[in-house]
Amino acid sequence: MDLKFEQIAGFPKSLSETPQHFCPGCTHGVNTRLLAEAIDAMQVSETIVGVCGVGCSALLPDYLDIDMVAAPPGQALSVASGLAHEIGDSGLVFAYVGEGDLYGRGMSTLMHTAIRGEALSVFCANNLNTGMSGGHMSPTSLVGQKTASTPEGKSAVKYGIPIDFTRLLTDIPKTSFIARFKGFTAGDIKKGREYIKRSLLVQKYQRGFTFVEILGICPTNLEMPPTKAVQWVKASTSGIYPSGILKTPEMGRIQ
Amino acid sequence: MKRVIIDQQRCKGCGLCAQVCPRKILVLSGMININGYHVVACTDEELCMGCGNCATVCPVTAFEIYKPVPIAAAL
Amino acid sequence: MEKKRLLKGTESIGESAIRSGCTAFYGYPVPTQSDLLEFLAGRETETPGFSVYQSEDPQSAFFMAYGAAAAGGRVMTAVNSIDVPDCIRAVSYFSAADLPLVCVVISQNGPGTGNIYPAQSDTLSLLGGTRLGDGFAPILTPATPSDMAAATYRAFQLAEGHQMPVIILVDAACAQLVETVDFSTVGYREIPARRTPIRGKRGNPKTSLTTLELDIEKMADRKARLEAKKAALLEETPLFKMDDAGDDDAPLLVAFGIAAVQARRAMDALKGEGIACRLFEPLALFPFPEAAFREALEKAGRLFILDMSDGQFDAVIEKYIPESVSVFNFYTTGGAVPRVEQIQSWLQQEIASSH
Repeated sequence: MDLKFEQIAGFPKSLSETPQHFCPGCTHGVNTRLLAEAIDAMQVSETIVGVCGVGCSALLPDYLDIDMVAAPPGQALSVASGLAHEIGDSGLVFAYVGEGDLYGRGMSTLMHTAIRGEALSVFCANNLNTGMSGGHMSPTSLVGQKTASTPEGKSAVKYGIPIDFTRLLTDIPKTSFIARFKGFTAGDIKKGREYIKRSLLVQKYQRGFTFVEILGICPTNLEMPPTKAVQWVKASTSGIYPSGILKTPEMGRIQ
Repeated sequence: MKRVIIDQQRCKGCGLCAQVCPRKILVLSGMININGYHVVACTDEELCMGCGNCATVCPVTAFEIYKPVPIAAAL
Repeated sequence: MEKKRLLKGTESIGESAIRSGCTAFYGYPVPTQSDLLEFLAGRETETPGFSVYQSEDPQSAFFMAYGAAAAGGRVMTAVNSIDVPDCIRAVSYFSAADLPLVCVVISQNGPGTGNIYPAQSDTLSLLGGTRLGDGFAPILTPATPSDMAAATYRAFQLAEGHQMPVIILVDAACAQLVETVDFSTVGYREIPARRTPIRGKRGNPKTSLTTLELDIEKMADRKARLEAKKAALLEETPLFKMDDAGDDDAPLLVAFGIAAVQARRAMDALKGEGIACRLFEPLALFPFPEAAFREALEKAGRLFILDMSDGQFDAVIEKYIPESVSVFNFYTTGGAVPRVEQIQSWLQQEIASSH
């Protein structure tokens, strides 16, 4: 039988050749590639502007071959809103922010940007700790999770029990597409690629506020080999941060 | 034709690809790249079924995968 | 657009911003500066290409403005004293990113929440604070609505010309002064946009705007660039007003904002009594009109400093004052504007006793 070879995976055009600083096994690398793939698939690399937050995401401008603006701590969505106001429907604006930045000091900005319904695609890299700061507790750190600032494990008495911030956004009338996936299992990443595309699509044609949370692993700060970190995060977050689509413009809130 | 092309200079040896490979043909080799990482290698390309799991989970986009598909016989 | 309008200070700033080609105002309502937001919100629908956004907090207003400026907008924000720290942080970011911004700061009384009466107690925090991380911003100090109209146009010229943040510092009393503003005297011209907006590559190489710089040498380059900008700024026409009594050795008063307005009134009253004074009113604290001030001081043996803080203005100008000059201070704090009679009797007393 004659065979031909079809390329099923390769290096996306919008991904820059610059070597990335991410630690071995860090899923920021996956997220970056997924963004590049979605940008290529949508053919928007010439009209899209990205905004990145602080921490590990702050070097994204070096890794994506598109126009990018880096924002100060907590203000990524303000910067993205300003860009969106000025650019209007002649382009797309997305923000890629870590959860420590977005759900911590950026929380009020996140809520109000969503309430205003700014035409943005927001991608939140949730890796359960503030990675670049040095692995301290973040708003999504799990109860009992050991971090640099909670060496005995995050105390529910002192810090409460983390909530599903992504679900919180589904209650806001002007949010349109909301989803979450794990950025470390092959099946979920394949779905996630579609979620990212969908969020850009919704932004482009319906001018809505879209939000995708990408659950990731931070092997360095979890102090686990990447393969073990995958198992640990998968097992310990299944109840609190489940994958799937939470809201669509057509069906509203799902689940 | 090569089916699995690995950019070993990008590889950081995290081992996530080896974990998801259904055919278990990806291993962390003893080879060290310029950055000092043990890089991943494919032991037998003939066994690769082109599922793309390795490329999907790879944080550094080190994989290029070609899937063999039969050419339909001319009608 | 009509040439003359009866406006109060904040409104004059707003009107002048629109005439200077401002595309977006990002504001947050806090007393003493919210009337600027109100005025501009009222002008939004009738002004094509101009938008007003109210943010959830002052910091967000600055950084929405940051995004809009990056995409090519000509932006303005306003805060009062309490939010000066947000302004300082924004100045640092706008400086690092070479983005233009005009920020209006309305000074009220503190410390703490204080009250909404006027003060001039943000002088040092703004002058020192804007140096955060070696950033900087010109600080313009117009006192009357007409001066504010001119200062606003000048602020946009400086912001676009040097690609930098510019602060317009006005005290809460001047912000409420009402007068007929003749906009035709400002001489508005189209201010050219000087940078490539970030709106997607659109056929060009990619642009990354980041203030993060890990490379020490590149960081040094950035600082050198800022130093060059500062040097260029010092070359600009110095901004000040000099009310001359025609008598070079007449005592010299120095004040800005509402203190200058009151000083001028007191001087007029004193003129009737045969006492001549001169008034030096800096219209910018940075760059301070140093040469003109030194020149005015040359023949004046006595300097009268009028200020509404605990002496912050002294700290700004003391380095320009030669030791041979005797200095007299009049401070009001707590939010009280110095009354004309107070200034008058202070001057009378000090002038008589220092002869």
